[in-house]
Amino acid sequence: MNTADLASDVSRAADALRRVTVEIRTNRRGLGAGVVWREPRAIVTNAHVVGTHQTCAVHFADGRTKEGRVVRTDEDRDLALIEVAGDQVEAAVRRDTTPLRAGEVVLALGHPFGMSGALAIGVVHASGERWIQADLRLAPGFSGGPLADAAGRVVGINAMVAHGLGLAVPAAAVEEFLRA
Amino acid sequence: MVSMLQTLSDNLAAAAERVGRRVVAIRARRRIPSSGILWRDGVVVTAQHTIQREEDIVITLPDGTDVPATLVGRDPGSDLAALRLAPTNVPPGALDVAPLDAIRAGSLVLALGRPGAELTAALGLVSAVGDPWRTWHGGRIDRLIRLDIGIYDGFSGGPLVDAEGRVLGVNTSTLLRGAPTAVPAATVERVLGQLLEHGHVPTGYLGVGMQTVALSEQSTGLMVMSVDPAGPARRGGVLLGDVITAIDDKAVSDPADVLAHLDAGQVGKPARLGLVRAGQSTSVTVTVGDRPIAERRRRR
Repeated sequence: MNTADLASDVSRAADALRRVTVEIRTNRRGLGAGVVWREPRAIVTNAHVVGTHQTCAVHFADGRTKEGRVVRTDEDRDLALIEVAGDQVEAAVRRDTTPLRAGEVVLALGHPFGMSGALAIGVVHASGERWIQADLRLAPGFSGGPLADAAGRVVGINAMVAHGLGLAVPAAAVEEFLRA
Repeated sequence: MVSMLQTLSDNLAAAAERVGRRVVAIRARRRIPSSGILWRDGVVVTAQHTIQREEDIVITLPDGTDVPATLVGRDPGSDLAALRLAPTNVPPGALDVAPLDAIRAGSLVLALGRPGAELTAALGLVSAVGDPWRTWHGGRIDRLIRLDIGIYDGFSGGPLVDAEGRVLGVNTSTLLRGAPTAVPAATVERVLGQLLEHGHVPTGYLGVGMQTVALSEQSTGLMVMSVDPAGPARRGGVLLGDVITAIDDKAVSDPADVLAHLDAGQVGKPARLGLVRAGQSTSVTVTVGDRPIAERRRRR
């Protein structure tokens, strides 16, 4: 195995994720991440990122900033749906229903401490219906951002850190939330 | 084209899945179960500090079935314990164990666990590999393995696995003052053999308390400060106030020198103690005993 190839694979996967990850600001201090879940308008983030706000600023990876409207939140699942007006670049590629396996490599993208598009890498610790537990180092600012597999396909939305493990809402739960 | 990252991911997940078929959950403490490894037919190895009760132990197998288990023995020195269960529950294929020299600093490793029904994995590195060492409980470990890895529920007692799916050792968080380490598979094999044969790891015992004293400006010895009245040293004629200067012709100046000489292999064998008694050099021969259970408990 060539480690240079491995490194370029990681940066390629990170670049692809960065294109579908947005920054969400509700005021001057609040900052979270979000995922362009489907075209043309639906962006998914955590409910705790938008709080009680009705609108937020959505900053895209291509430099555009648009006003987002909070359509719906589910505090129990810690999910929020945001819609923005107009056309968008691209939506995240989601993994099919292949179950996650313990030990599988996962990537997370977020904006820790105001740093845009930072990458964290680790493995699946355990995968449950309610949460994906990931052994990777997350920080505030990763909330609402994507958790993806080694192929860069989104498997969940990062929501919190518990006992050192990253907890993400599984993609299936996000789909369920969007259908509701 | 399948990417290298995908290949790495597939290899890690496959390694976890393969070894995970031998990772069990042990219910021998309150709250969260600990992890163990089906090391041989009907024998589970775990970290002894996670076994908090010695009766009513239940093991949950990877397929979800609960089976009763009995404690074969424990060794605080190496933080290992062995449990026995019905031998019909063994997955096919032998445990794939890595040789000692395959444990290298920088290797990617997975720590597997089963703190419940689900298999868990954490990824990290072997950060350093050191010489054979002795734990603060006196256990002899064939290599010091320092790990850079997260310690989550179920870490201790689970296997350390390399990217090829070979078991490097048994993880524990207690031997290095809370830092993650693993007891190498070679040490596990040795300790397991002794636990299965004796129920404990025999440790050479003289039955004396010693303190380093200066005999002259150049030489030091070990003054006998206490003598176990039923111990091997007393039977061999060692007296309070004797100064031990050598054991089997090897000079000793620290109690650790004596401990290093008293490994399992010495039990039952004669040891010649060089002494200074009342200013005169002399020697006595004692038969090395096995450390009594009470002594072992006290050292835990």
